[in-house]
Amino acid sequence: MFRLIVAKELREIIASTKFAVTFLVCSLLIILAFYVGARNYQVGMAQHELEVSENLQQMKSHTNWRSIQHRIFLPPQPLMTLVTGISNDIGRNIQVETQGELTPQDSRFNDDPVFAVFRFLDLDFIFQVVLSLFAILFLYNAINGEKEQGTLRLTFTNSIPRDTYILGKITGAFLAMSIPLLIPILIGCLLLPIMGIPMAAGEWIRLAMVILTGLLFLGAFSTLSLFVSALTHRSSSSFLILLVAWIFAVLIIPRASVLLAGNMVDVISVDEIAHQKIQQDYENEQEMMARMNEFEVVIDPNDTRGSFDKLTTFLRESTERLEKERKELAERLEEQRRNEESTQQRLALGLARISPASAFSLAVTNLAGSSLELKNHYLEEARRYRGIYAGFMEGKSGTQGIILTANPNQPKPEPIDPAELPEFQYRQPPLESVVRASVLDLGILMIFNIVGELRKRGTTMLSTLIRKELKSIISSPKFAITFAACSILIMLSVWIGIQDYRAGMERTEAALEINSQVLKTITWNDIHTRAFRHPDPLQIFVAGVNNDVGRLSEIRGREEVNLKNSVYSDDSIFAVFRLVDFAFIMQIVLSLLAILFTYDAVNGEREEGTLQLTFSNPVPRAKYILGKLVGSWLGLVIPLSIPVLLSVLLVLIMKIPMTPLHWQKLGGLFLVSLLYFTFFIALGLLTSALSRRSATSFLISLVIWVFFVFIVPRAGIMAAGQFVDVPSVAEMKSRQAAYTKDKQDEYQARMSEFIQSFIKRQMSRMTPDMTPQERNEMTKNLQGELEQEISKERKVMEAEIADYGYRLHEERRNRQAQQERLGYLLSRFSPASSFRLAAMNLAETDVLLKTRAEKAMTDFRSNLLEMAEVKTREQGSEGMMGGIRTRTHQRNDGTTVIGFDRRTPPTVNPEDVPIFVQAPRTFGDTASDTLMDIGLLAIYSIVSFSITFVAFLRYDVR
Amino acid sequence: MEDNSQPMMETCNLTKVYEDGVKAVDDVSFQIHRGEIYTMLGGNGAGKTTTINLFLNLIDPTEGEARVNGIPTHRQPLQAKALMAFVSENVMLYPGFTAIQNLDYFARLGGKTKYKRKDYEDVLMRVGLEEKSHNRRLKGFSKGMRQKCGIAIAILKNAPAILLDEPTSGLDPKAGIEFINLLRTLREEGKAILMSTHDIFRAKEIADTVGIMDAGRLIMQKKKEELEGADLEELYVKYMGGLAGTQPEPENPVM
Repeated sequence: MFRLIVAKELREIIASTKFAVTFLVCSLLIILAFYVGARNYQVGMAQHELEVSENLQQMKSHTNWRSIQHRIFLPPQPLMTLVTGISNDIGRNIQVETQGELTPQDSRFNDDPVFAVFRFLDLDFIFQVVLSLFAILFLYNAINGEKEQGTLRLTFTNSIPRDTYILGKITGAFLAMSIPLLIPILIGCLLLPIMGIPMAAGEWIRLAMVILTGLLFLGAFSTLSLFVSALTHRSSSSFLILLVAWIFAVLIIPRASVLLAGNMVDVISVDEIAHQKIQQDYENEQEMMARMNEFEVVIDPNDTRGSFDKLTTFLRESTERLEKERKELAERLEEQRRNEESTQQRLALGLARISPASAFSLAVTNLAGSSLELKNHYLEEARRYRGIYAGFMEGKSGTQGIILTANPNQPKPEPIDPAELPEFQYRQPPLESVVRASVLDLGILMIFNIVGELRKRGTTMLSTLIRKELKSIISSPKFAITFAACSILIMLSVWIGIQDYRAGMERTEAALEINSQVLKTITWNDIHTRAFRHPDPLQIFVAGVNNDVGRLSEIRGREEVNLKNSVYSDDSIFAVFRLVDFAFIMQIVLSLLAILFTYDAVNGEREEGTLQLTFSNPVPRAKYILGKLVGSWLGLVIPLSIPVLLSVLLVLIMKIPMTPLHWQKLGGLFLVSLLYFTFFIALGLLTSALSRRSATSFLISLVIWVFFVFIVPRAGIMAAGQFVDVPSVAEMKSRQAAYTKDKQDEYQARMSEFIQSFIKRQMSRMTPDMTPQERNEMTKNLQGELEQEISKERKVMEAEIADYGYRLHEERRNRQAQQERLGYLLSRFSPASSFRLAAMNLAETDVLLKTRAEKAMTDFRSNLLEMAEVKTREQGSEGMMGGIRTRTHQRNDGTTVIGFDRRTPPTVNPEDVPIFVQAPRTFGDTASDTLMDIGLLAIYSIVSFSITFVAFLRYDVR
Repeated sequence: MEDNSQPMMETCNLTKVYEDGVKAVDDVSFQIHRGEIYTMLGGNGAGKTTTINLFLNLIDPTEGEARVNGIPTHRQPLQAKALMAFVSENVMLYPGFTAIQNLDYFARLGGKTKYKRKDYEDVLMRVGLEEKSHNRRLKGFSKGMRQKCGIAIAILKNAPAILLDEPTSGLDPKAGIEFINLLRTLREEGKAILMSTHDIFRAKEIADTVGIMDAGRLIMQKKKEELEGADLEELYVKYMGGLAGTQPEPENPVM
């Protein structure tokens, strides 16, 4: 009996359209993910090797081990490219110092924000978002659909136990679903060795576990679907319920829990730590200075040496104490951060596990080694390496340095051999620990499976048409559900966005405050400061790449401005389940709901028989289809605009500083959103006018939706990434360092030659009959000439180096721009990309955010440097005064005392220093950039409606 | 107003061949005048529903034409449809709407925008739908109740031509009798009524003319007077053979 039911279920599903469609989509997505993962691995590996060798290359010209800049790189892992996790968010290289904190730098998304616009399509994402939807599609009508057909009654006229039936049903469906999954996965797995990806045995085991976890995850959704299908009478209601459950499980719970945990547990920020350190240094130094100025030792005429020793001992002890305190504070703060971070993470992940989607994602990222643990593990590995490195450097101390020598006979210092450096071997976390970490999530997925199992056992024509459409939509459950989903999602996202904005604002203000305290401790001569990107209220609605690119830049001398400390790199927990912003809700959720509204607009009425009745009346077809479009459109605008209005109210109540410009742009954003979902309404209409059955049109719409929303945007960017190579930041740094080294060597060689010839010339001009005074005079003149010459040459060299650096950056920027243009061009084949690009443009969180900020900061730097020059000149030599001198003076009692003379040079008055503020782009600027996307969206809508129109004129209404 | 001698509904050599070659309607011609009820009898697949679909221009004829008050339906479908009301075999209405809301919507589609709530209630009472059901959603309605709503919609349209596709299937005996009485009233109001049915007894009871269709052809057509005394059942079996399970032996096709 059981086998009969399983066989029937299998045969029925395999013969169905939805099976074919699922097979197609699964194959496309999974094989693409494997292919792209393998390609990324190859590209990443090539880049990694290049970076490592360039890093060693630039050391070759060094003669002193102490002067090298050694970086270690996180090597790409095959599984990490299949399940990316946070691996693109955290820095990929670490500058090895023998002491101090090690921090990963140069995160992929900070360096190449274009990839953050449409994130990678990895296995994690495909299972979590796309396949779970298909699992629902497979089983939402498993039981009530049979009831509707009448086959359920017929089945149970036979003596079939209910539990056998339900068990057979789920087994059959699960087996049927495994086919379109396992075949492409198998092909994908074959692709790996074909493309030469080195997979160790341990990695195959991990991959197998990833797939197993995926099946368990889909099993959870399947049992849930069956359960809901058994609880409801109509398949349309079970589908709606499941869709809402899906939205909650996949989109809301994971993200909401992370944000909730972020709000509940405060973690001390990286900036705060840095500034607390500086603050303490400043206070300690002030204190030490005060004590030093008071400290005096009476000089014993018989033991002058002893008196000086006392002085130096005091100095040494004070410095050591300072050092110790500094270290203690650093450790305490790091410890605090680690503790707070782990509490926050535990809470967040614990809450997120309410949803099977998060449990799945956590398990697979864990298995692939790209979970939150990645950053800690990478740092641990780096610390381990530092132990080896420090030991190595110990043995190398005392090697000769670079000496500017005039003696050609002195042996040239030997250059170092970078091959001697111990190699950095990145070890993956052991399999047992990974498996242990995933066991919890696997257990949770099992429970979801079992629980599901257990519970199952138990006026004018047009206006008439529009009004009817509206009335019928508003009274339908899908309207109520859309309204609820829109309200919850939009309000939640805006509320969270506001909290985020406020937190960002507080952080920036605190950082600015501490920055000004730092300014108090330095002189205009060596002024350096930090410029911060200010949070912008529109980021509440469209986060864009805002969290991926750095938040601040050091402004120091002529150094390149470089944004660093991105939110996701510092607080990686937020990268695990990314922020759901208004743009995301529109792009993914609302587009799906729009399709849900219209996929059965025409053929659904045909199926119900009302279309025939309608057209037994004198109803022109053109008016009818137009009425459908307008009615559905209005029906979706209502549940959208009410939460939007409430959100705007929320923004007003919470006193977010919105300028008229912001309001204009926000208006633009809503306009673009309307255009975007108009397209999907027209798309739903189109498919429903092209097919006879609503089930078919739903499948077609869903496939087009997956294609437009998930595949095209990413595929476009990835294709552009493959076609246009952009040199990595680390590579550029290496090239810059190598070039600098070359230029310096050349300069030194030339200078030593020059000095020799100069001395020769000087010797030859000196005649024995010159008076010592004349000789002195001549030497002095020549000395002046020499110095002038040297400084002139030096300036030329520095200019060349700066020019090279500029050209390197320029080249990278050009390449990046070229890549972006191509990527956007390709991805604009999808309205989802057009919408996202337009929204990001309007909110100024587009990919150029980084470039604009860096440019503004560079301008700021020039102004600041100019100002510093003026100020330094005003203050004269006093401004440069610093350092420690000793002073002696006679006391009234006749003894001579010795003490410190520490004159504080005049420091900067923070109020004099301008604060970095970036001017917003004008509405005209952003609007003109957005115009193309608006046009495209309009064209997409018009084209799809025109086809609908033509198709409907010929539609067989029987 | 119109010329009374002109038939309200007529078909002229009406033929429909589907794309797969099946001749659903084969050279059918008949006329229905005002105040006349024409019943089409025939088994499944005889071509009754296709004939009605051709009247409603839901499909285009291959040859010949169907005319309503002289208007060829496939040339001027909108004008023709304004003169017709239709009740299908299985009336499907919007399940999310109440009976009154459905009536209102379809009355407006039929060009009747002046009706008040009272009118809808009256017509629902007239077709025999209990008052408590008037404001209930169609979702919970039985087939018979939906059928009554469909008839109410047809009455509201107040069209001179009425097409009924198996209207009595699914009605209980009481509702069946009420429906027949309703048809009589409509005939008295001067409507031309085309009704397809399997029900020989109802057909005999009410029809002014009876046509028997088989395999797309109109194989017999007799006026009520001609049927007087004749056993319609016998005739039906004789022409069709379908009910008795014998091969049809058409003899003397009328036209």
